[in-house]
Amino acid sequence: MTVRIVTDSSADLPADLVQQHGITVLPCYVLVDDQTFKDGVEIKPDDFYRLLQAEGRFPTTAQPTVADFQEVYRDLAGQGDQVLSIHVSGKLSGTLNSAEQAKASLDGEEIEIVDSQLASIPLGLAVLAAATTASEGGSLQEVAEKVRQGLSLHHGLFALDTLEYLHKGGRIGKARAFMGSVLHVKPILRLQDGEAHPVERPRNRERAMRRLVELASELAPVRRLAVIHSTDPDRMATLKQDLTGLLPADQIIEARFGSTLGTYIGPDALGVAVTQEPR
Amino acid sequence: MEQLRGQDLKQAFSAATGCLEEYRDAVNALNVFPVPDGDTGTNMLLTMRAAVQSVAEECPDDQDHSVASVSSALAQGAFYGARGNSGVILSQFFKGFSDALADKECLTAQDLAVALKLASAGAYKSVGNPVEGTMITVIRMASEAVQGSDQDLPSLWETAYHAAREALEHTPEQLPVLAEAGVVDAGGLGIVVLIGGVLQWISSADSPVIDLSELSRFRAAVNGGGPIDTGFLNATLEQEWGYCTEFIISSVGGQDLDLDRVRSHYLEIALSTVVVGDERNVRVHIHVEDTVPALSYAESLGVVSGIKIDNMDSQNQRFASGGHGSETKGPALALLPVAQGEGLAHLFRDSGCADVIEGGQTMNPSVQQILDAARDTGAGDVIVLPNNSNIILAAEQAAAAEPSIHVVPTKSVPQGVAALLAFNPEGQWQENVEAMTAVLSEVASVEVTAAVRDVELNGVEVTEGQYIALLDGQLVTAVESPELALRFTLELAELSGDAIVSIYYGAGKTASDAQPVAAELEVSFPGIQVDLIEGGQPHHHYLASVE
Repeated sequence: MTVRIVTDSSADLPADLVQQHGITVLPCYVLVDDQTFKDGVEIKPDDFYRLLQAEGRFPTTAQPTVADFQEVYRDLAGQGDQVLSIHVSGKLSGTLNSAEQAKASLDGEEIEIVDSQLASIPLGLAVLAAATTASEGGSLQEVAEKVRQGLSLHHGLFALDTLEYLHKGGRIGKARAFMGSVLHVKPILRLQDGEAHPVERPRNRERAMRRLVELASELAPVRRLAVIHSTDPDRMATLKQDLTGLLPADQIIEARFGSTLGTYIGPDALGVAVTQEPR
Repeated sequence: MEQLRGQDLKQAFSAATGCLEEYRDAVNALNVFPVPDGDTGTNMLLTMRAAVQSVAEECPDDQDHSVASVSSALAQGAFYGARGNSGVILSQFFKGFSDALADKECLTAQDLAVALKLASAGAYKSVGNPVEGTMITVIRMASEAVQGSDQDLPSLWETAYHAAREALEHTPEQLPVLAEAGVVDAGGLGIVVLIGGVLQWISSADSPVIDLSELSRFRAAVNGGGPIDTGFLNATLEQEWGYCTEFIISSVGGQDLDLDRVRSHYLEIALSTVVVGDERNVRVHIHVEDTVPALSYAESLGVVSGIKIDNMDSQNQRFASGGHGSETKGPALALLPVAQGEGLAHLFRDSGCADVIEGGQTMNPSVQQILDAARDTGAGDVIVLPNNSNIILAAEQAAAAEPSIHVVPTKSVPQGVAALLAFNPEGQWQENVEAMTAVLSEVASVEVTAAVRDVELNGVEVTEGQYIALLDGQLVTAVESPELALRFTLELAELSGDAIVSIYYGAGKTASDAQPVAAELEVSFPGIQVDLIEGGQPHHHYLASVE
């Protein structure tokens, strides 16, 4: 009996890693102009950002439905597996609710649901850590316990072009302290206690990137490292290069903000996710 | 006249304030920098008015008062009403003066010598970096001249006056920038006028005591003079300090009230204290910052009724008189910058500041204004950004009076913006002050304005009406257009490859006025980034920073 890992598309995990670790990803929904798309399945990032930038729309997102979760859970249970379902922070999304309701409806003793308190590729790193832990064996409860205890080792730092999308999407949280349209800045946010927190306000992208590297370096030693972008792969490549002091380049994961995250992050955003070595 | 009673001291300083009123424009005209900013004469006058008003409230005319009471009231009023560096130094002068007279009923010649000595020490202590050739020198020379003298009181004042007058004459020799500008020190003249005004009253001289006609290198337009306009005095008064609070305490269960004890308790914790009544009913009128302890004490003595608290809406009134502990309703940490005009106020509020302090007619807010604004944020701790080197002392004086106020010593609006961007609302005030102060040395500030008079400064010849620019407080150019002044000065700053230049265009300017300057700079210094920001500031055509 194996423990299978389930997450949602807001984890922004690259497809090859999803396959490699046998992870099941439930797509969130993105709503644009009365049209609903399954994130990553029915709409790809390039199309999404083109819509966002060219036509100045503000899409909204929706969590996977209870039925979506039921289908996945039934499927995996049918194969004789146990499920560790780890998802985007409950403060940012209702995805966990759908998961819980699905579990309840299935008398799911073989399902453990974990609030990662993270989002995007930091959640992705937590998912990878969970997959590794699960592969080392142990009961579902033991694996879930280890995963929960290790959550504080995952960190996310994001440099945004604007807080407008986060604000309009209602997810700005404590970062509202950094809102403002008069001064031109590239705010840096981090994930803490399941929501976005303000860190700094560098004046331009170059300084923001420099600070991302410096702040990530403060988290050394590093077990896993990922870089992520929404519309600027070249800048992400530079960022990755600058971070090779923490991990060799071939070990640094490259990711992209999918449509779910893109809704809140907007274009020209960059990020770094770190899993620290446990002490 | 062998000695001064409290009432004499009161009238003497009122008269001195009247003299300062007459010479206010003359003092203002001595500003070294030909800029419409931080007028010393007005700042000192407003500080004196606050001092005199405080005496009028604490020591009403219908009773006798000791010089201890009068000088203490002067010091208290000056402390809260202090504006600009000159106002703060003046307030510390009065603090030292009143410390010396703490248990004196009347002021003798010997007392005066001690008082001036402590006043001088107070003035020097108030400045982090005392510079000779400024008003503190004038104060010191006046004090030194009367030490160990056996003259009678009027003669001693006269000696002090002449010593101050002579010291003023020498200030250009001590401070090169005064000599360059062809002026004596403005604050020093203010001191001479105040001492002269007291001397005038003491000696009841028929002709004016203050004589500046032979003051060499003194360029000023002396005001026509005339009687003090008390209407103007009342109209420009500072808001009364604290909450005006009234209530009645009634004895309960045969427990008589001790009027004197009640009065001395409130004298200690409040201002403008009036306590009247008898052993069964006592009526209290006080001004306090925090009504809760005042009312708690009252409730411990008997039944409290007829509570009236001004400057509070009825909701807060009920809250305060309920005697519950006051909770901070606001944020843990708030930012409070000083700035002029709607444009900059909008910029600062938009960027996360709790509120903005307007400087008033001299662009220098009083200590009281800073205290009030900080309290109104409702924050646990407040970081004040003075954004002007003439406001730093007043901000520090407010911080000394109120432990929850902290100062990051920004000398200009561009420095203030750099500091604010280093602010982390989730950090402790200590780490924030440290981080924000650290960035100040990385910012070069530029200020462009129109010269209000001719001057030669820093080797630059300035004609009234030309556009001048200051780079980190130094005058560097005077030219025929503000855009030229801006560009020239920015070119002087170190514009290395990754520099970020922020240009704040003032009221009457638009982005398209500044755009050509930005374009030229980007061509001359490839790779730099130039941001145009709407500042809307009233007195500076452009403010700019290089980071």
